[in-house]
Amino acid sequence: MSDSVPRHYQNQLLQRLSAPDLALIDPYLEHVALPLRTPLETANSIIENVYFIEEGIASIVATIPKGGDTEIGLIGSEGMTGVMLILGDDHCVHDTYMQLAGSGFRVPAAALVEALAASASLKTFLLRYVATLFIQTGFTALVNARSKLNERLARWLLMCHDRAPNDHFYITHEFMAVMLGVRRPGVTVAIQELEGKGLIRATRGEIVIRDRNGLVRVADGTYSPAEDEYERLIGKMNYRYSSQPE
Amino acid sequence: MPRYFFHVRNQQGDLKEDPEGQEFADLASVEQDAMAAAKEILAEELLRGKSVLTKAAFEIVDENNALVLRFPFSEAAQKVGTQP
Repeated sequence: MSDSVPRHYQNQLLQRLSAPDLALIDPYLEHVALPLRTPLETANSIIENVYFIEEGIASIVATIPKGGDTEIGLIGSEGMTGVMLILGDDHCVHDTYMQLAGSGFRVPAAALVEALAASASLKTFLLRYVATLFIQTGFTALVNARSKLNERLARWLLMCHDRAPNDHFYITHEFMAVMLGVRRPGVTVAIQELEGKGLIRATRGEIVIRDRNGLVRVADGTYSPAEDEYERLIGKMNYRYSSQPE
Repeated sequence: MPRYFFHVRNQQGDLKEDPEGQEFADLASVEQDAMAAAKEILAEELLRGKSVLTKAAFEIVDENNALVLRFPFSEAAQKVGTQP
């Protein structure tokens, strides 16, 4: 950027970079709108751009060849795409796309790779973010194997709420079914159960969070371990998560 | 493609409406999806230690709110069909 006024970032990684590390990538950062379903990474291809999310939510989705998708990672303003570049690869094996529209800063992969080679502190910091995503995916693996749909749905809604601009966000049951790896009517039944307990309100395409603590109770311990690790590795979360007992 | 809504008539007789619906090419695919979805819902209930909701049923309506298929969950419990 030619202007010398420092930009304000909502992205919590960009916010926390030291001035010299930010200077390495700042000239390449381009603010872009990220509408629903924008592909950020395409499975089994070279990573061309990296996105630091400012608003909205991206999902990393794994696919079974015969059909069947499931979400394995969730990225909001606390994170970024392109983690394989930080780990030394230039390919990605999964799809990443926007599931809640927003915006972000895009940087060409080559520019990030060059910056990583130039700064050990940048690399260490971004590796810590990769660690948090790895931990999140670990807990997602755990709940997918051991938790019931209502518990997984409650955890997932809390994770979306953390990354959404306010208490209501637009998401269809069809989309939730993909994210949770189940059929849509099952999601509708699970949503109605949470609604019946007064924890959420659901209309066509919209979810309103009414009782966060109630959702945390339904999630039965599966929500917060990964969020605590983010706080330890990166810092206090900027969103609704609180490590203080409520 | 036409949109169908999978309302659920629960054990107590209350109708839980599907606010969103889903598009299907034809009624045969609606029935296949009803079978698979009912099997999945029953399995989820069993895994939570509950009894099988065989008295519940899908009441599937089209965009004009006309009932096109009533699918009792007992069919999903008893018959072989599409895998969830």
